[in-house]
Amino acid sequence: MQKKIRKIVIVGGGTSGWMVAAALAKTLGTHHHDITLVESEMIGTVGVGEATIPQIALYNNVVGIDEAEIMRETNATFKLGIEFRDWRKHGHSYFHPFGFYGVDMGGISFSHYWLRWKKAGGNLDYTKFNVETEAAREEKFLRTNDDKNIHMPSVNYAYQFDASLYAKYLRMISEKRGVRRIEGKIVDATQNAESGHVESVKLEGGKTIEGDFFVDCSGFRGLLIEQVFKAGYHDWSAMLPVNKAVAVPCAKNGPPLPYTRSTAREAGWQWRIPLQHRTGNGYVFSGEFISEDEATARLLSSLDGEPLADPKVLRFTTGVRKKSWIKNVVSVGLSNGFLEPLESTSIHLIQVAIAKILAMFPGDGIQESLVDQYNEEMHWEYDHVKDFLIAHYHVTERDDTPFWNYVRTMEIPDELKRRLETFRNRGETLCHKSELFKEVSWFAVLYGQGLEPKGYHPVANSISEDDLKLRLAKIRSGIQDRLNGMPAHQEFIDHYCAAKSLMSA
Amino acid sequence: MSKPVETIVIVGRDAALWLTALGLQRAYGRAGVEIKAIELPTLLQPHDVLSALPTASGLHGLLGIAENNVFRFAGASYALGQRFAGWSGSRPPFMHAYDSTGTRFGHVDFVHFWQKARLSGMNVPFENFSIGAVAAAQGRIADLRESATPFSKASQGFNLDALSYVHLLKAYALKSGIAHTQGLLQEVTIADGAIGSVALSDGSVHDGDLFVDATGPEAALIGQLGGAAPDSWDHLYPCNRMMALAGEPLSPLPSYSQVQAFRGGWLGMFPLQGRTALVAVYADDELSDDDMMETVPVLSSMTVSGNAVVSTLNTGLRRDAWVGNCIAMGDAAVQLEPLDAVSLHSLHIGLSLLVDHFPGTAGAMPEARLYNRKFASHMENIRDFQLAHYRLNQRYDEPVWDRARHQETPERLAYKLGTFKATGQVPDYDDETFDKENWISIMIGHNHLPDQYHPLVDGVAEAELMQRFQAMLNFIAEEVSEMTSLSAHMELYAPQKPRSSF
Repeated sequence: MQKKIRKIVIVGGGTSGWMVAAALAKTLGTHHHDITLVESEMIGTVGVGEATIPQIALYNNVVGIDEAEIMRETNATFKLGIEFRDWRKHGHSYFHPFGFYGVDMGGISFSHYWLRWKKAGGNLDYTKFNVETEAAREEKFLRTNDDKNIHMPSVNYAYQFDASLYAKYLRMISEKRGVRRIEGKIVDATQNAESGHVESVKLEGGKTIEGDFFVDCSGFRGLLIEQVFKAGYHDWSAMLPVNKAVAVPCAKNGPPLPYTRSTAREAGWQWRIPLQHRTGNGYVFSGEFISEDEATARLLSSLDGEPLADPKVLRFTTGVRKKSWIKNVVSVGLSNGFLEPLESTSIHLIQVAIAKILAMFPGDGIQESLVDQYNEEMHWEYDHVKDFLIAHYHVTERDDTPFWNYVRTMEIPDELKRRLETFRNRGETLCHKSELFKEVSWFAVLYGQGLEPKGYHPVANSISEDDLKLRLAKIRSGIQDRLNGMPAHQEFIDHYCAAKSLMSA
Repeated sequence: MSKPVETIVIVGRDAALWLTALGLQRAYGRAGVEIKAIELPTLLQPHDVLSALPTASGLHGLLGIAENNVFRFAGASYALGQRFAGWSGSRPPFMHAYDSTGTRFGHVDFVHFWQKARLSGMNVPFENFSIGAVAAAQGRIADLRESATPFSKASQGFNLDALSYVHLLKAYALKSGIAHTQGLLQEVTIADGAIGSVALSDGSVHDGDLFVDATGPEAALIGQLGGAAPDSWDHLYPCNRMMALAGEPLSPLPSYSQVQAFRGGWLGMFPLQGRTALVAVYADDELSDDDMMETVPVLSSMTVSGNAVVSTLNTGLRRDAWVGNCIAMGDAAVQLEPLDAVSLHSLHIGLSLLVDHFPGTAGAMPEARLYNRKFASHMENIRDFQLAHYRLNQRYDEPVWDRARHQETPERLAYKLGTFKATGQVPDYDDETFDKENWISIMIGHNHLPDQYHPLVDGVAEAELMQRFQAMLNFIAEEVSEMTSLSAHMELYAPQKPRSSF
């Protein structure tokens, strides 16, 4: 008989380790479960992920984190979406907003009605029907979570923050809730001879930590999931060929923008993430097409403020473990896979893993059927995010560098092919209900990348022309009303969540 | 026995010519009457604006002009009313909306209940009880939901770029199949007190049974027929100069026109697509044209572009607007101030009256008497509404405005103002363009408040009254938030400039 799960060991700190710790401490509690996190200050955390997606608010809510407080603590700003510059072609830019275009009607999305209106000669841009895009454009922000006004759209947002400060905050609340932190570098693991379960990990210096259940948050190395269990890796670098990133913070050059900017470069793309006190920058590139030195020089020459540190290079392989959960080890975060930060999904995939681990948390031992279910679901999550990311690269008019020629012409997954074809013909994106990126996101990116649908869903013809115009005008009115009532992003931050370090300055 | 009217010759220019031509073609062209438009050179200037009441929608309906086309092709914007600023000293501006205010309780007008509440300390402005006024202040257009229609009849007028509007009218008129000639008027041939024909400088001669004089203030046709000279109203109005200018467009776009009083007169700001039309009406004994030029940017807080066009401002009415077989339309018949959005209204009235009182035969045309009486009555009522603003002004120690308060007041206007002050009741006259609610709106707005309220008002307990008021305000806020904003409408219906970045 398997034994009851009592001792949980989290291997590795960083964003993923402490997110797991804080969530387990809050939901399982530390009365019946003994939660230990082992990390080494000698091992740096990766922490490139400074931008998030709106789902993080759910996590914070579950863990019991006050929004204004965590924003103050992490120098956070609000994020309304991502601007993609030069992705479709040089000089072009589009916005992938959180939130919605217009209002869905008759069971189909607003975009079909907009397509109908446009084909009939309507000249108003679809982006005018999205409040986040408009607010981003005007650098405004307002938190509308408690606003019951149904005439105006609510504002959807995420955060741009310092991930290492986020981890630090999570560590603080985890320890308050009784999570035990052990400093040390893991050198070995012992397995049960019979079951193969990991029984303990050994630290440098000989200390041993026993556990019933291990969460592997050890980063790219995958200390348990790969080094012990040889889970294997689905290598997706043929379709997502970027494999390095060089990151550097710089001084801010003005009030922080309420959005992240992604600028396409010759062999990848560059992020710009504005925080309250500085701006995060990085060039994500493929080492096959540009050298580290060249990429670093390119990054440094395109900063809009003084660099505040030496550039740091990270290396990775896009892909995911073939199995995320093996026996009593589940891998979360980078140890489980990495899809590159283009749509800020790293933290979200950690969160998805946590939610699933909690939902399937073993009581009296590990159920193999649940483990299989978990592995299938996690793989599905990564797989669909992957397709969305590929679409950014593949649907483009750029043909000015070998990198873009490669991604534009590369072989893509059949399911993605089908989607692009359907979108081209009738503006539908074939989104699954449980998919992270919904129809709105697919529409924003595919249309933004230059794929213009020839038709639209026939249901969009069901209302009269006058009625359509009236509805469009009403939707647009609501957006304008909302926009008129929004303060500047900086102004909102100042009264809601100004970082302490900045307030005294 | 006389023959019926078979040919109508309309001589003139601009809106008066094309509105009349199109209107008569739509009404009588189908019955076989031939309509001929003789177009004289335009008198319009690039900055000219036409400010029209909501009744213009009815006019467009009559003429078969789609409202969307007016909006698209005439640089138009909607106005739900006019905001009067600075007319009564330091009191805040008020909105004269094309709407009723509040609801009647029993048989008593809302204004009585408001007056009582005001006397017992309530300080909610009268206009806050009008959906039209609240909607105008918030930049909405008048698309009321069904739930609002028992309470409100908010509607919108147009501000139009005069030149493009006239182009639009002309396009419709020509498409409707009228005959059209361009030229200069050479001679008007008169026999037995009626016009036989008109000759143009190209030598062409145009006969007709009925002539319309749409030539403007010169009244080139009707002026030769020996009817009574027009009555001048110049002694009733305090100003005698007018200046037209272009200002930058406003953003967000207001859905009202602003009428700003200043020391020497008033400045009208009429939002259009792409610009704000500015019209100053002023008295030359108070400031020169140059002074006025310098004053406009200050009053409007706007950068002004292009050349100012200055003209003498005269007002008056041709009581014999129909003499013999000739009818004057537009400025040939009546000249009013560009106040209260009546730019198209005299034409509208004239055209409707002509269609209603169309001459049965091409002979004596006894319909003229009826027409002239009705037309004059309508125009006097409009004049009185304009004069009311001047008479009720509360700018003291300023010569123009002191004069405006004390100039001769037509008896019917004096009676109306006096009766309202004494009783809170508004005498009803025939042929009114502005209804009781419009009169109440401006009288209250100019702080011309009744000395007493209706005795039935005291039958409603104060608590209940306050409750009803609160319910009304909540209802208005809800309804207005559901209305479409003008700028959204504008974006959807008017041409958009492409954007460079996201």
